[in-house]
Amino acid sequence: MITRFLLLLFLVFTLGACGGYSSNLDNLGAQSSFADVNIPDDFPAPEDEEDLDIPPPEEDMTPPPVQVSLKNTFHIDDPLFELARGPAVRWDGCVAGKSSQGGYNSDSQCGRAFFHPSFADRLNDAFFGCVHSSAKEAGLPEPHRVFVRHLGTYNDRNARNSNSLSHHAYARAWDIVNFNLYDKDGQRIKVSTLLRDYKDEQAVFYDSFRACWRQALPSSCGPGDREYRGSVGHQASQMGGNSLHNDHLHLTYPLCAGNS
Amino acid sequence: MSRHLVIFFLCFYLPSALAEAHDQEEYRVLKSLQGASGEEAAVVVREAGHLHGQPYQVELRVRCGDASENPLQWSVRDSFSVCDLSPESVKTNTQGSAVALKAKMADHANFEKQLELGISQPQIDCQQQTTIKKFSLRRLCP
Repeated sequence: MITRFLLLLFLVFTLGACGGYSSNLDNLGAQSSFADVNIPDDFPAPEDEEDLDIPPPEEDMTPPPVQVSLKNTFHIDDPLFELARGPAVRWDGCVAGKSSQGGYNSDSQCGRAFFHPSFADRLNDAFFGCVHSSAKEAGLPEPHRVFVRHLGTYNDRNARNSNSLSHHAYARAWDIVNFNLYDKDGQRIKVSTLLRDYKDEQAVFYDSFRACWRQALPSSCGPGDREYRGSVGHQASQMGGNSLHNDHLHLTYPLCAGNS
Repeated sequence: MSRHLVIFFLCFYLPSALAEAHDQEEYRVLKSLQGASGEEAAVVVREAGHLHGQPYQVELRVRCGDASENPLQWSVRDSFSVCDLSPESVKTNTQGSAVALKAKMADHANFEKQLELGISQPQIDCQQQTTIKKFSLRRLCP
């Protein structure tokens, strides 16, 4: 009897020591202080707030190109970088005169990002053309420039819910939040990729853009290849997706596309 | 001998099996609430975020039609990724038109600075400052 009791005791402690786990969700907020801000009782709903992240002041505005060029719209810096999983070039989303500009989590503050060289080539070849044709299909004014609000390209990590590396680890993926389209007069129209904004012309643009980008991929990509469609979006869209992509469009130049 | 095998099994297999099931199903309801038109809704957090190194996905889920009682079966109306959040901070406004919470987001500015410097292995950190994130509670079901 005593032996059994000791065995049970041993098991209880051993389980706790060698295999027990604690949930990260239970520890949410435990390591940080949130006292620096207060949420007022009468805070406005998101749609009632003014768009505070407005385009930059006029003196910083890049005038839209007079002629719309659909190719070579990204300014790529010269040096080649060696990232953890391979090479990359650096896009400068601030360069005046280029039709494709953008920045991290901002509709107006431009910046840089890494792309795999082949992804950069394909972006230069097809991205703005897809923006242009999608705007037309959605009945929006002709864009002369696009400012992409994005949440990153390169990030050396695994795909979610997977042990495989993400396309972000190869700088072959780009998380897009908004397309800010500027017409010939410099007027901006924001096209969001969020699930909550998937309606009317924004939905048409979203689906059209994804279909166009898929067409721009090499024929080497097909069912069975990871992310062979060239993008992952939300489930409401025509090309489908999953609940992990309700707050951005995951645009890729997948591994199946090779280095061409 | 057989007891030793049982101990070995319990010690190494059982916890990992538990953890696996745990990973697949884990979520936490931060707040159950009603939409502006009376729809049943919940703010849920899952360890499924990834945007710019932010590990948690916060979702506004809505029970439309004859969905089951499990919030994970409800429609996701809106979502965002965060580094961390304060579960106690979740609150609806006095008009009942929105819900807000306090969160920590990724430090995009620092990441951008590393890119400017040409650092080829930029690290993503979380901001110290708190951000208020919101969901609208209007027009939740089609």
